[in-house]
Amino acid sequence: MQAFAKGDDRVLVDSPPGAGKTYLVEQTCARAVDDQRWRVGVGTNTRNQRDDFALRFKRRFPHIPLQVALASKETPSPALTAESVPAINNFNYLHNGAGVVVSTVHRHFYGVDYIPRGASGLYDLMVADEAYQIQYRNGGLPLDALGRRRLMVGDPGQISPFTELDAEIFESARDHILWSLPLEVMQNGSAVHRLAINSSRRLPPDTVRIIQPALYPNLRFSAASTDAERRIAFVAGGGQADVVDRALDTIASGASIVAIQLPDVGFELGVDDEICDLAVEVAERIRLRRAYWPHERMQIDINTDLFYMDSHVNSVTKAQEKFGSRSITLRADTPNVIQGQETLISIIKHPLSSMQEADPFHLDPGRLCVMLSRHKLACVVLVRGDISQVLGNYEHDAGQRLLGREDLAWRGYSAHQQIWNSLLLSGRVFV
Amino acid sequence: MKGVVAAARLLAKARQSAVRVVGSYDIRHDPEETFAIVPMRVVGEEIIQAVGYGRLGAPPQVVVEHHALSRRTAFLIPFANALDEYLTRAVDLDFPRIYIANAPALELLTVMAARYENAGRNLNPNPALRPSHEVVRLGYLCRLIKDIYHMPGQQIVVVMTEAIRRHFVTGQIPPKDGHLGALTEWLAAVAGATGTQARADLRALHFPAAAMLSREDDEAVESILHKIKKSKSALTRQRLQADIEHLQAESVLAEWSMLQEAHAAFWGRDLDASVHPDITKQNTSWLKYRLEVVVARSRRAIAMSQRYEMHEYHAGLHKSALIAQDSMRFEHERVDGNAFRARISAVRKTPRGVQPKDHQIDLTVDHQPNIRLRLGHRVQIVGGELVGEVRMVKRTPVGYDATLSVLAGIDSAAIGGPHRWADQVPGKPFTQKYYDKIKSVLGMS
Repeated sequence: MQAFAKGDDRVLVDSPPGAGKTYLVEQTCARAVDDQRWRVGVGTNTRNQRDDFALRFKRRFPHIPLQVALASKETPSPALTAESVPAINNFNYLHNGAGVVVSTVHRHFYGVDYIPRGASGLYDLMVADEAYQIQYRNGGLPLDALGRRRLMVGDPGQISPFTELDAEIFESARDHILWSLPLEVMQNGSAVHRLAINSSRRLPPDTVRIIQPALYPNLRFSAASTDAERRIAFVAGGGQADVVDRALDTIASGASIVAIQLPDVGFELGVDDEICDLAVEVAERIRLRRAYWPHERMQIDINTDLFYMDSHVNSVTKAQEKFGSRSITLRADTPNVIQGQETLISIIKHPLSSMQEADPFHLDPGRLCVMLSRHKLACVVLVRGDISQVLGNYEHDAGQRLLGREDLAWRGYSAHQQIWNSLLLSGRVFV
Repeated sequence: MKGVVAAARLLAKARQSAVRVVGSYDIRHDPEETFAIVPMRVVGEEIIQAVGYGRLGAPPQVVVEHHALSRRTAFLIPFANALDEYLTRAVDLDFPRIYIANAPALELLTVMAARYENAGRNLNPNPALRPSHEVVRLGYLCRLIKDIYHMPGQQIVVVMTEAIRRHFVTGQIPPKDGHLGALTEWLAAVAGATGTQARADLRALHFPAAAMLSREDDEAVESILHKIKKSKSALTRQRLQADIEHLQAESVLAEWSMLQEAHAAFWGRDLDASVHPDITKQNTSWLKYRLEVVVARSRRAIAMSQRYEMHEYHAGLHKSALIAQDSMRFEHERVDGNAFRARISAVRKTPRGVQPKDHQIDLTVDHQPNIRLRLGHRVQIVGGELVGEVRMVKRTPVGYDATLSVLAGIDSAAIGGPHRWADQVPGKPFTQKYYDKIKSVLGMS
């Protein structure tokens, strides 16, 4: 708000995972409405993010006029209806004066038609939440056309927006409409006041020490909590003394990320039954050993406090089946779907598990980052094969990326190597 | 799909004949008149030295430049005129169809597009090296061809190797599929044939798969060029030049006949015809406008976004049309988790007069190992009107139970099935009006 007061009209806030991005956006919106009497537009990447934001905002600031702009034939979700969040299907019904209008950035585009004649925008402030997930084509134009001031808040380490279409002609143009919104805004020379949040409320200090240098080399941040506050304890001892117990004991001793490695089978497994079984076993063992969070005096429930993540949908489906067969109802999904969410403990299948050769998809630094940054307490990495060997054998094709484009595969490779080495050197890989 | 292709490759190898992996063509049958382009580049250089062009099924016109490194372009003028004439004529008839043998040939046209179009803007100080306006226009036409090729679902530019690979799988290792001759051997062979692999290998040995002369011919051209340089007699130089042109023309003719053969083999297989003319109409009108008015390459965000929207829309439209007409393609999507079979087990309509309207239906989804059915996901009955958004999804011993909020087509919702479901067909992209408004707001109009 100070930057806007000084006359800046574009502000970007880079944030590490779990730093309170949405809280920041909510507070900014509330201040803009309460103090400045501004009309604020909030653009999200997906409809789910839109609804989540609207519900949170309504609960925190019930006195501020709020509207959710839905698609033309869309019915409000049951959650919005239950909490009486006003929803509109047509920008004709936008309220006049100060207030907040939440929609997907794509839907906000239609607001262009409702800009009053002679006005320079529809909103005094236009906010893009999770800006690094939004493609410039979706966010850049509405932001510029609709807002007199623009605020972008996002995590630069998350999975970059992707397209299934042939992207070559778009990538080789002057303006990169498929790049993430902040990257393209900065690249095309617009003046941006750049700020950064330097601490993560979610991540344990141990995790920050591992992932920050590897995945956020340009965003220095620390953990807001202490090691002791994020320690897990187990009421029951590890009677079986196998790899799972040893991994859990290491977590109890203060390591927030540990890995369990299965032997290589010599070929890539699309669906790895054994890894799925191991994931179930880890969850069961956490239940059996009655994990709790001493600092919060809280018993950990594996059905509500655990996530399982895997890069592939078919593999996730198999894991869901296995968890279901043991009556475990934890959330299992791909990192693309889970990004933005948080949990106490996450169990992840390493993106390079069972790979014989690393490729750009599996090396993507965003995917690894999402997987390693959802937990508040601990993350158990399951992997098949020797990751050091896969990374050691990797031959990078420097000519694969388009000129001028960041080499994501190389950045991912470096991050993978740094993180895996760090786990190996600190004795956290259990075979 | 990866697993299906691997299994099909094994089957093809056993049968010594290409195996189809889809039930229908994804491009429409040829219009009355087609045009094929067979360009040849200099080995190791992105420079064109010969082009064969004309109607497939007839002998081609061939233009050559014996000393391509001289950067002379006048030899391309007849080709430029013929292509321009064909396109101008075809957009007024039905739709144009241009055949290109393989990806390197398309790549060569792309290089020509950039080179000759730019040469028209940045004139060479040496007038002898300035391309004629026909060649500059050829650069522009090549750019249009390249642009159309990148449009999802387009029906105008067919790169033969890619078209074959989208429909059939051979029993050879995938990198060999880049060779049109080898591919054609597999495609033309009947199931149970013998020696297909050997014949395909032999063809690959004699003709390169990269729109250029064979190694022997290239070396011969090099050696004759060397002799031309040394020769003092004009008559000898003329004779040697004719020798080079003969070699170049022979290579073009060989590639041309390979393309014809591949064309006949491709269309001779028993796949169902493709329907869905909408995209063709749009591609044709896009091209028609650009033939009449020279449109500069889009580089800025608004134009690129508009173009992306159109591509996204066409991709969705094309995919859903293919799934609707071809049960094999539907099964591929099902294997990949993008489609499923389900019965409607309950329909709950919001009573008349009650707001907001929230019609709901319950689905009983058949079990499949891989499914992308999540909250907020929008799905549609394949080929039908009923569209819903997932409100609840729950695993059951025999599959899934799901509840959808109906977004469209509630009148067609009735208990029964099973129906085929897939992703919602995308809505139409933003109209020009929105982009014009944005331009005016941003002061760009």
